[in-house]
Amino acid sequence: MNKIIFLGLAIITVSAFAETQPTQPTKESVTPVQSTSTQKPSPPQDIKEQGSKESKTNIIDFCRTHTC
Amino acid sequence: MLSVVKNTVFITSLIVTSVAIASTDPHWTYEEEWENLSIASTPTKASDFPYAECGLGQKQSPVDLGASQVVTSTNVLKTAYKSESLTVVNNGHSIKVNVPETTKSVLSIGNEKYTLLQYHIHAPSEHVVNGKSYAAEIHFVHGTPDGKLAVVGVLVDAPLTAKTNVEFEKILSIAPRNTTDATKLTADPTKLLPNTAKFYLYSGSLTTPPCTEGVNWYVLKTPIQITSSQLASFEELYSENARAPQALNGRKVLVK
Repeated sequence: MNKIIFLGLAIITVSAFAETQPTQPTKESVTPVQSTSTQKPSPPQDIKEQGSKESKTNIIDFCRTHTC
Repeated sequence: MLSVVKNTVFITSLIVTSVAIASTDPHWTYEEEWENLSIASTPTKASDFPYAECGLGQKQSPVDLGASQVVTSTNVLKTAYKSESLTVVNNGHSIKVNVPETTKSVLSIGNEKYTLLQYHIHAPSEHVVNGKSYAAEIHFVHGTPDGKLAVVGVLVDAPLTAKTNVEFEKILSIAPRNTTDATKLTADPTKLLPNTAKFYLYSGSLTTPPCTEGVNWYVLKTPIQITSSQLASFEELYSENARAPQALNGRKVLVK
């Protein structure tokens, strides 16, 4: 019985860590800052912005510290 | 009592392992295909697959720049780099030159100004032109306060007739062998640029994980030169630290 309880606790603990510790910009947090329209191909100078202000700032910090 | 102790040790080791994994960047190397390792057929949440964009993205970099040249860019590119104190690091993936946050070195694209964040070296080149790769490629990474990224790629040739590239040598001579070391130099990145500012332009991504898209790439058409000896010296530190060309998926490459 003890083993079952402890195993349950262990699974909960590991799951909690997995959900709360993204360490790098993820697909969600690094939403493309710019992208071209798919319906009307346009040159990059016409690129429209996407993504939150927070994710955009993150990618700049990331590029200071990583290869990019 | 013994079983309680065993269970406690087991749980503690699980927690310690979880913390260790959670507190470091997901590891990647050029030897493994991170694109494939990072993809799940049905990813349920992005944090489970931090590099998923490398495999799932449709606007990835590098690309073959000669594959599609049908549009002429009207953008005007102007670099205004300053000579200043820079930090050279070996980050385990490349030799990277960090620029201070207070830098006045900027890239102007039209009326918009991008601050130089850092530059680093790949060998061989990541971008290719009609299938031809170059000896190396230097990436000057720029950003705006609101998060736009623009990278200027400088292709590097190493012909037998080349003279020693003094600016490249400055970096090579103090490039740390260990990833824990950092060295300082005073340099003007302008001296690593070719004389002409004609370029290829396209919308791509970071070429390393997490392969974030939305990066405007300006790869200069004219390569700079280093000697084969300088190339060999760099390759003692890093060789094959280049991602393979990715599919254009309908993107256009503009030229100027």
